[in-house]
Amino acid sequence: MSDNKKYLKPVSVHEAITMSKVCGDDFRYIAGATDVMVNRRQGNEESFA
Amino acid sequence: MCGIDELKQVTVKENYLSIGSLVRLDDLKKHAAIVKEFPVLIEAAETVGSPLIRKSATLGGNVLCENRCIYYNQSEWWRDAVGYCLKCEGNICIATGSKKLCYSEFVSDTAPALISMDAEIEIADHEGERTLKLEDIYTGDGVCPRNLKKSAVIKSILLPLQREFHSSFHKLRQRQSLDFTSLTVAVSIDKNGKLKSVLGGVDPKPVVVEGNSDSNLEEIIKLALKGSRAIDNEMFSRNYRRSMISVFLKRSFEKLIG
Ligand SMILES: Cc1cc2nc3c(=O)[nH]c(=O)nc-3n(C[C@H](O)[C@H](O)[C@H](O)COP(=O)(O)OP(=O)(O)OC[C@H]3O[C@@H](n4cnc5c(N)ncnc54)[C@H](O)[C@@H]3O)c2cc1C
Ligand code: SF4
Repeated sequence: MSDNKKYLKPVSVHEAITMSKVCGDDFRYIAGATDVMVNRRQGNEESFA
Repeated sequence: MCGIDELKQVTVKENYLSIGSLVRLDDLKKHAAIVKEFPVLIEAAETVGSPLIRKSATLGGNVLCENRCIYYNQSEWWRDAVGYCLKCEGNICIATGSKKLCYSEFVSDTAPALISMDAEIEIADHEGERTLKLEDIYTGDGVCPRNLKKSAVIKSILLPLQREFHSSFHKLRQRQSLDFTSLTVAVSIDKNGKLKSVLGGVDPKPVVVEGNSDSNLEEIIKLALKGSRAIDNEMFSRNYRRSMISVFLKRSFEKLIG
């Protein structure tokens, strides 16, 4: 998949929330990615940083 | 999120079993407390996708799994050709012609099982931490199915211990492997006779009907049917799925109450 997104890897909940603040609204948490990435490929996912 | 080890733990917190949101569906069965107290959660998790998917998929991701609709879960070019709908920058629901409401279906399979056992969800966001009943995070609006802030992190799912649940789980789908649900029915009864029936796949949110072992079971079925706003937006027809609601609920009550 061509991908100009940036992936961040928080190591604590606090860090994840802080990262989300920095990204504004343009991000998405990814856990196993089995739902979110499939939706993105279909063009169903909002963009994220 | 996979670097956050604190979300991968299963621990006892007072009267609850706390299951970290990053516990993978395939790993639920490795925890003795889940096997002993909440086997229906494992049964539900084992119906999600395929074995490979369950090795990556997490419990937190599953309860937040996006709603589905046959007119929406298509490729970009397909939707471009057919026309965009309310859930995707359009101004009309292709399935119903409505200009207001989207009825994309709630399809998480573990959430109905969890809700039937009064699960709660621990959330952290910019404003702090809080615990909610799991069913309260679902809005019933197919466009925006959950009322969580985008920055909210699910920390864990809490299941009450010592309630001695007996449960039943049914899932209707075309192929017994891989397919999303067309109807999920989870029913649990605890040691005090509290009965909770939860339906997935037939409404934008889980349909919950509570009662007890003395309740009029026909009445519970009627309430479940009334609460389900299924439309023709997936492979099985609305009528068939609605008739299967009664079938699955009757089978569940026979198993649990006799
Ligand atoms: C072929 C196929 C078949 C499938 N079949 C089924 C099925 O039968 N039943 C079913 O229920 N699902 C099914 N799915 C959907 C998906 O695989 C599961 O729902 C899975 O459990 C999602 O978990 P995940 O960890 O991969 O979530 P992700 O894809 O990583 O995330 C899903 C959503 O949850 C959010 N999220 C994840 N973790 C957190 C967290 N800790 N805090 C806050 N937000 C979070 C993400 O931002 C995203 O919005 C299927 C998917 C595929 C591709
Ligand atoms: S129910 Fe209607 S608005 Fe919602 S996703 Fe399907 S076609 Fe779109």
